Amino acid sequence: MVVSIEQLVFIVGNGLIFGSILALVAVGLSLIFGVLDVPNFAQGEFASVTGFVIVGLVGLGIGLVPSIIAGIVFAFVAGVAVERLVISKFYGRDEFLLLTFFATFGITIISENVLRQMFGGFRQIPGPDIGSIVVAGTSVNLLRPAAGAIAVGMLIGLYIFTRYTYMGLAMRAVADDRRGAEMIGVNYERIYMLTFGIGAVLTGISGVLYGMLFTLSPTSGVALTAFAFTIVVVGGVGSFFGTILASLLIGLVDSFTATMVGSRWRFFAIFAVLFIVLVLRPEGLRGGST
Amino acid sequence: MSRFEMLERMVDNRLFDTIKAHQTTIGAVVVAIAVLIPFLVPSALLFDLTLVFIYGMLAFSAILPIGYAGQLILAQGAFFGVGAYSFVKLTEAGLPPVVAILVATVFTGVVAYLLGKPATRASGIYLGIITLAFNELFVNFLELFPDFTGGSTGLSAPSLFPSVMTGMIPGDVLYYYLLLLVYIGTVVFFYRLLHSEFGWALLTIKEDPVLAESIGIDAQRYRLLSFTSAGLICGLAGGLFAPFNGYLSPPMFDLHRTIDIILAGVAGGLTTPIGSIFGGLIVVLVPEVLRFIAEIRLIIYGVLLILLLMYLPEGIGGWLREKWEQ
Repeated sequence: MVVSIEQLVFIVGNGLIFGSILALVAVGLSLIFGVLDVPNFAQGEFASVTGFVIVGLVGLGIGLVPSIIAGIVFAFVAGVAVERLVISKFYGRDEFLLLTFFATFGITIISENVLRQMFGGFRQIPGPDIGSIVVAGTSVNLLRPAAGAIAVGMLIGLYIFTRYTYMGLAMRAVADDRRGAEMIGVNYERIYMLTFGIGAVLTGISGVLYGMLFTLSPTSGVALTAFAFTIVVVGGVGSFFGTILASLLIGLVDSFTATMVGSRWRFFAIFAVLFIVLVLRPEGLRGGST
Repeated sequence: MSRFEMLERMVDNRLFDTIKAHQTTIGAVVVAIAVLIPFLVPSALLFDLTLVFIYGMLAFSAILPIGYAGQLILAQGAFFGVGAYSFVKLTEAGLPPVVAILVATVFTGVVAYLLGKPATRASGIYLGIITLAFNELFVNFLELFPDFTGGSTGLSAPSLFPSVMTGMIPGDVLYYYLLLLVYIGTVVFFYRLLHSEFGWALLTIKEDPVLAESIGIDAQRYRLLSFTSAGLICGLAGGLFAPFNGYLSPPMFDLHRTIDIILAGVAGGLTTPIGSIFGGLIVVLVPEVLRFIAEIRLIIYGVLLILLLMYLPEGIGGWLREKWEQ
């Protein structure tokens, strides 16, 4: 198999952009799992729901920017609602992990089918036209690298938020030791709500970018969830840099397989990577270190 | 306590007292109904009721690893599929159907063992994701190698019963009785297994792995055994499902199937073997009952799943046992 330089640029470029979008979903998932211990199977739904809300609002004739803002606000509200209406009912129960896993699976079923009822099939968010440049002989729409840059910017923002702000530190304190955090006056219930909201917003933004570069469908959410779980587990639960690294790795593997082997093999390749990593290192690439 | 709750409790107690007082009669009625059902219901419903027994068996692949050993396994759909597809492949190779079911069961057990060997070193969500990946890989495999598996067109499966028998008694009646018997056998087997030292060992491992090791329980070995048993029971159910359904295709064994199987376990009660029949009934009949509202059927199914987890975490079996012991 000979890979030309144009193809290589294409594969790596696409892989990194897709990887950074995936990183937003995965970081959202990882944040919620880290703080609340909820393996949120509905994580990808925040992306597809946000994307479809924007599609709907744009369809009603509302401008792109206000629609995006409304979509992201909706994602935050949806995140808080999921935590308040569903997840909070399971606090303190035995088998919390299992119960919340299946409950969030129920949310996925609901969301997927509501989207199917309301929007039917494939939709795209009309992205702004910001021109294109020529790289290695191929014309590249600037929207793609811009989407990647926005994703990276969000990740850096989250990193700063969790290291240097009160709320971010409180979040990490709750993740580390809930009782201890409670003792020094952190209102952990508020942190839980906020974490779900922020996790949903991060993933919601990935939905906006995904909807502009690719096509949204009611099942996009489940696919993104599967990617995100793979990434979090490959990267090691709780490791921020492990998650980013794994996102880029998965993005590249996906892009390479789709271009060189055929898109039917995408999931096969990704789950094969996951499988091999986990069999060799059951605690993930960077397990243990946080 | 509100007046309504008092009334409810009174009715409850009366009801259960009555049931307790007439145990034998009620047992006999249940047995009679189970035996006479093929002559009382239309064949579409008979098909569903036979499927209930299959789900009842499959529920044990959630009860044993998840309820007893505390292992989050999400590959039941794939194991079920391995059993079903190997049944078809083995009969195509010329094996008699009955032998094919047994070989398919053992083969699925071997697959589960080989997967479990590395996978059970992981636990919690890691084990969940490894097994989920295996499930997806299996469905992908079916779609990517159509020459061997029939791809998305699927495969048709031969009948279990020779035409001499189906000439005398309709096939669906035969399948009903066969699966009723196999289901009863499964319940008895697991009831004894789970109330033996094996079951206690698993519960101990789930509660406190360190304590389990300290009293001489080889936790790793038991985890692998429970993982393999989940594969075996799914393989048996798959080997019986293939000829009963007559047709196999990849989406039948994807993550949604896995979730349905686990839901059968959860709805019945993850620590009550007898509950599995209620789990099977819910998973098979609720979607049927909701069929008239086709479009929003799955939305309601999702809501019911969440409500069930919230308000009946011990499942119907657990709820009945609690009433019984009062």
